[in-house]
Amino acid sequence: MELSRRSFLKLSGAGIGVAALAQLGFTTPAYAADVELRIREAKESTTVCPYCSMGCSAIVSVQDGKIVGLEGLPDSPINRASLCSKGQSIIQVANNERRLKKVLYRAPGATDWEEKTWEEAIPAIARLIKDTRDATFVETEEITTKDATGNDVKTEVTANRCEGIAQLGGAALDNEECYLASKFARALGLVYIEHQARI
Amino acid sequence: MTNHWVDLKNADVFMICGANPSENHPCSWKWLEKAREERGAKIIVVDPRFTRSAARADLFSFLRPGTDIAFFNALIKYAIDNNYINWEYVQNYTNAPILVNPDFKGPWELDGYFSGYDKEKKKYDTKTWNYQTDPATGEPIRVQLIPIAEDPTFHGRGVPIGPKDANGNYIPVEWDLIKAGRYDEMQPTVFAKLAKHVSRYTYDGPDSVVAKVCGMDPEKFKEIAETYVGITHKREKTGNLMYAMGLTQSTYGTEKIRAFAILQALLGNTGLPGGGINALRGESNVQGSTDFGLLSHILPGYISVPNTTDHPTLDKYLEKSTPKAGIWTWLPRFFKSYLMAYYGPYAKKNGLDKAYDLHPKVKKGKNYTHIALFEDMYAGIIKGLIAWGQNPVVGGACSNLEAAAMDKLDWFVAADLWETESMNFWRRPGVEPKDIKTEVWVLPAASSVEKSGAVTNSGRLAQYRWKAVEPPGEAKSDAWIMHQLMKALKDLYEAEGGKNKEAITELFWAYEEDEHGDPNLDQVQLEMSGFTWPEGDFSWEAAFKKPVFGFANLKDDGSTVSGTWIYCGQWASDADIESAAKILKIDGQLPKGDDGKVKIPRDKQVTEWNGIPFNKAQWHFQKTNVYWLGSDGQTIYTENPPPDAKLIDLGISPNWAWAWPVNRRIIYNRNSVDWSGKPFAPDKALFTFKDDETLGMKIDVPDFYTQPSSDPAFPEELRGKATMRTRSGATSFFMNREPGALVARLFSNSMVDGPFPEHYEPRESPVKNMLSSVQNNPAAVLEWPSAKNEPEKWGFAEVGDKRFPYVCTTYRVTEHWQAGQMTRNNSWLGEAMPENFVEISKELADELGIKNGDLVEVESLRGKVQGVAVVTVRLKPLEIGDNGTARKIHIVGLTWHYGYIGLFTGGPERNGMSKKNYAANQLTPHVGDANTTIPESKAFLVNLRKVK
Repeated sequence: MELSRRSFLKLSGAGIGVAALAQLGFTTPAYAADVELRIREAKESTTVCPYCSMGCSAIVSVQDGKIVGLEGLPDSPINRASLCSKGQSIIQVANNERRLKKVLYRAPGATDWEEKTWEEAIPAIARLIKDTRDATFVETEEITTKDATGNDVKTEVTANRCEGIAQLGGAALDNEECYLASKFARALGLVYIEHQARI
Repeated sequence: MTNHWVDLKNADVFMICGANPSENHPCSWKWLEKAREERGAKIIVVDPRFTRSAARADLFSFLRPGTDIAFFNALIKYAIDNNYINWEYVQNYTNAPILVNPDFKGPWELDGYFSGYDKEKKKYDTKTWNYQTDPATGEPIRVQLIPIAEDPTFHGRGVPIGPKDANGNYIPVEWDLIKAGRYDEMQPTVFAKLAKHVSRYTYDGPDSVVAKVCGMDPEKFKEIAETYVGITHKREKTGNLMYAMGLTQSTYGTEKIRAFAILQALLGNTGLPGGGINALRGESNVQGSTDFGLLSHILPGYISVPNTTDHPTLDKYLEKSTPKAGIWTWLPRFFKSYLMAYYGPYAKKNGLDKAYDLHPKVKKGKNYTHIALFEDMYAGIIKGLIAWGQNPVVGGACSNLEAAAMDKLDWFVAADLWETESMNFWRRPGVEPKDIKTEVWVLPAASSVEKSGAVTNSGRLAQYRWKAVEPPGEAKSDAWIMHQLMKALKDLYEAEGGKNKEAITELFWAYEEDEHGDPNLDQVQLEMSGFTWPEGDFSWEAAFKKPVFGFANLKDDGSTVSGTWIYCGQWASDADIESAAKILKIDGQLPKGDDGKVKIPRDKQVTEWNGIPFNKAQWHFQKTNVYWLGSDGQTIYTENPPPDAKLIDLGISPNWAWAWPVNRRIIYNRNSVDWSGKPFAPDKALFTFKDDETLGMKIDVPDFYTQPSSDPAFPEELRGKATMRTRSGATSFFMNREPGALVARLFSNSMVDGPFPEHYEPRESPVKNMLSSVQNNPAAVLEWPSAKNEPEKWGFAEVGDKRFPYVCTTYRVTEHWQAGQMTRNNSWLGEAMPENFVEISKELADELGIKNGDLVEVESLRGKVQGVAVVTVRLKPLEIGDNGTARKIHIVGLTWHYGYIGLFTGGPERNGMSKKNYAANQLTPHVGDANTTIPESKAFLVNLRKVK
C-alpha cells in the first residue's frame, strides 16, 4: 500500500497535522479521493501571524519558491484553523510589488533616493555609528553621595553611555532578533532604546 | 497577560475596558463565545464608543474618555458596600489585613494628594507609603479582617471560621463600621484605607461620581457592578479583565490597571483559570521585544538598568537592587548570567566586575523613554537614529513634533519591509527636502515568512515559525543586518580604537555564519536560554552539551550564561524531547547509550534530526492535561473516573510551544487553591494537595515553592513550623519583594503617583476635576520642553477651551494594523478600509450641519487631519457635571493607521505619496503617564469643521 499523506493521516488519527508530516519528511503528495488538491505540488511549513499578539498559526504552501497558499493551522490550540482578515492576507505581505528590494540612500538635502548595495551600506552605516558614538560618548561622570556624617561626597564613576544615538523598534522582529538588537544597542552604550510597547 | 488566550473560555464574566478584541484580536472572540456557550458567561464592555465588541456584549455602557479610575474605584466601593468580597483570598493572599503607617495620608484628607508630595519638585517622597512593622521580626503586622483559625507561624493567615451572610460571604470583623461608612474608626489596615479612599467614588443617583464624572447611567452602572462584582466574588467564579491601549495611553494609565488589579484581588480572581489581568498586546512580538529589554528602563528579563549614582560597581548594583524576599533575591544569578552572555570570554579573563564596567549606566532620574527621546532629539542631543520596523511619524504621539525632531538628525537608518512615512520624513507634506540635511539609509528587510525565529504572544507563549521563501530582491533579515553591522563595528574599533572600545571588541558575538552571512540563530537561542560555560576554550559544540534547564539552575558565580533568565529552559530538556518523541511514535529511533538509556546529544545534527529541531518545541500535536469532576461537583479524579464524572479540559496545552517562565501558563497560580489547599473552583482546578507536603494533581507548572519541609532548600527558620502548603500560601505572589508581604498589593509603594489609584483629568479636559482641586496627575511631567518653549505649536488646550470643545479619542480597525505599513500596502485590506474616517454622533452632526460622507477636518492645538465623516449612533454626547451644572460633551473618534505614503495613504490618492498627512497622531499631545510615560493618545481636545 502506498502510504500517501492522506492515508497516514487516517492511520494516525487526528493527533498529527499535515504540517508536522511535512517536517517529518513525508514529501509524498497528498491525494483526495477524486479531487486533486490545489497545493499538491506545494511544500508546506508553518508560520505564526505577524499582526496582533494572539499568535495564530498558519500553514504556508510554497511552490517554485513562491507562496501559493496560506490557511489557518488546525493543530494550533489557539486559533484552531481560524484566521482573521489580516491573517488571511499574510500572503500579500510576501507577494507584493511594493516591498523594498534594494538598499536606498538619501543624501543630505537630496530630493529622492539613490539605490545602493549592501557592500556600500554596511561600512557606511558602521562609520556613521562609530563617529557619532565616539563624539557623544559619556565615559565617566561625577556623582554626589553622602558619607557617614551626611556630607556630600563627589566621585567620578564610569558611565560608558552614548547619548547621541537612539534605537527604536522590535515589536515586529523575532525573539532572536530582539535579543540581538538589545545586545547590539547596549554594546554600543545606547540608553535611548525604545520600541512600540511604549506608545 | 497573567493568563492566556485559550484560557478565556474558563471565565464567567468578562469586563472589557479600553480594548476592542472583536475588532483588534478577532480570533480571540471565539474563546469568549465558548465561555458564553459552555459556562453561560456574561460579557461587559465599557467604552467611549459602541464598538464591534460592544455589539456582541451582554452589557454595554458609554464612558467619558479618561475616567476609568472613577469607574473602577466605584466598582471597588460597590464590592465593599455589598460585602461582595472573597474574604478567604483577601485575608490570606493580599496585603489588605496589614496595618498602614500612621503618617500615611490620602487624597480624602489632602485634597487630591497623597502624603509626601513636594510641590517644587512635583514628585512624591514615598516614605509614608508603607506598613507598620513588628519590632521583633521586622515584618508587617497582619490582623484578622475575618475570624480565622490562625496559623501559628504565619500570623493573619488561616482557614476562615466566622459566620457568613445571606449571600454566603464571610462577615468581616468590623462589618458594622464598614456598613456605616465609619472607616476612620476601623483598625488602620490597608483595607480600611482603601475603603475610605473609594468611599468618595459614589455610584448612586444623578449626582454620583459615575454619573457626573464618567457620564454613565447609574442604573446601568449597578447592572454592570452586580454582574461583574456580584458574580465573580464567589469563590468558584472568575472574572476576566481584558484591556489594551485604551487604558494605558493616559497620564495615569498605570494606576488604571492598578485599580482593576485591586478589584481582581478583592474578588479573588487572579491566579485562577478564566481570571486575571489580561493586557491584549497589539503586535505579534511586542511581548518578546519587551521581554528582551528593548526599553530604556529594563534589561532582558525585566532586570532594571544600572545608573551611575546607585550602581557605579557590580557589587553596588547587586547590593542596591537585590531585595530581601521573593524571586528577585536571585537577581545575582540572573544578572551575572546576563553579563556572561554579553562578555563571557572577557569576564573569564578579567572578572565580571570589569565586564560590568563596560555596560552602559544611565543617569539616575533621567527619562529616556519615547517622549523624552523625541524631546531630546528635537533639542539636538540625539544625532543618529536606528529604527527596526518602527514608524514614529505615524505611530508616535504629536507626530508633527516627532517628524520635526527628525529634521535635526545627522543620520537615520531604517530597516523595514516597505517605504514608510518615517523614512520619507524629509519630504512629508509641508516641508522642503532641500532644507533637511539628514542622511537617510533604508535597509530592505525580510518578512515573517522569509526567515525563521520565534515570537512570543500576549499569553507569554514563544512559538517558532519557519522560513518558507527567500526575501524579495536584496532584502535581508534584521538578524543578518545586526550581525553584519556588529562585525563591521568590531573591525572598525579593532583598527582605530575609540571610546569604551572593549565594550564592542570584547562583546561575545561568536555566532557562526552560514554561506549567506546569516548568524546561527540556534546559537543565539541557546545563549538567550542558558548554558554552563564550557571548561577551557569556548566552543558552541561544548555549550550545546550543557544547556541550563530553568532559571533555578543558574549560578551566581559566573559559571552559567543566560541572556534572558525568564527564557531559561526554553531550549528543550531531554525529558521534553523524549516525551515528544514518544507521542510522535519516533522514540525507537532516538540514540541510546551503553546503559540502554536514551542519550540526546546536543550537536546540530541531532537537534535537527528528522526535520524537527528539538529546541523549537512546537510539537504539532494536541495533548492537554485533563481531569474529571465527580457529580457532587467537588471530587476530582485524575484517573478511572466514574461514568457520571465530567471531563474538564482547561485548555492548557503544555506541549504546544513554550511559555515563560518555565512553561507556566497561568501565573500566580498558588492563588487558585485556598489556604487549606482546596481549589477555589473545583471545575477550574489547577492543583490539589495530596497532603501538606505533597501536591496531588498538577495541571499547570506551579508558581510557588514546592519543596516539602524535609527538602534541604526549605528555609531553616521555617523548619518544623511551616509546611509546603503553608509556606507557599503565605508567599503566593513571590514576584513581589517585601519581606513578610509576598502577597497581592492593594496598597503599593512602587508607583510614583500614589499607593491607591486616584482620579485626575486628562492633560486636556473639557471640565475641572470633580473629586479634588488637583486637575492633573501631579506626579506626571505635564509640560515637556517642546510645549514649554513653543506652547502655540506643541502646547495644550486649556480646561474647557472654547476653541477645542470636543473630546477626541483614537482607535484601530480590524482591516489595518498599527502605523499601517503592513496593511496599507496590501490591496485586499486597503480596499476593505480605504480612507481615514471620523466618527461623530448624530447630535453633533446635526449641530454642525454635517452629513454622512462629508469631508471634515479635525483640529487640535498641535495639528489638523482630514477624514470622511461617519455619522453614527456608536457615539453619543455624554451628560457630565461641570461646576455644579450638567453639561453635554461630544466625543469624536478617528483611527490612527493612516499617513501619507503607501498603496493606501488615508486620502483619495493611491500608490504613492499624498499631499496631505492623514496621521491622527498629529493631533495627540506630547505628554505621558507618570510611571511609564506612555503618551496620552486616548483623551484630548479638538475642534471639528466641515470641509466640503
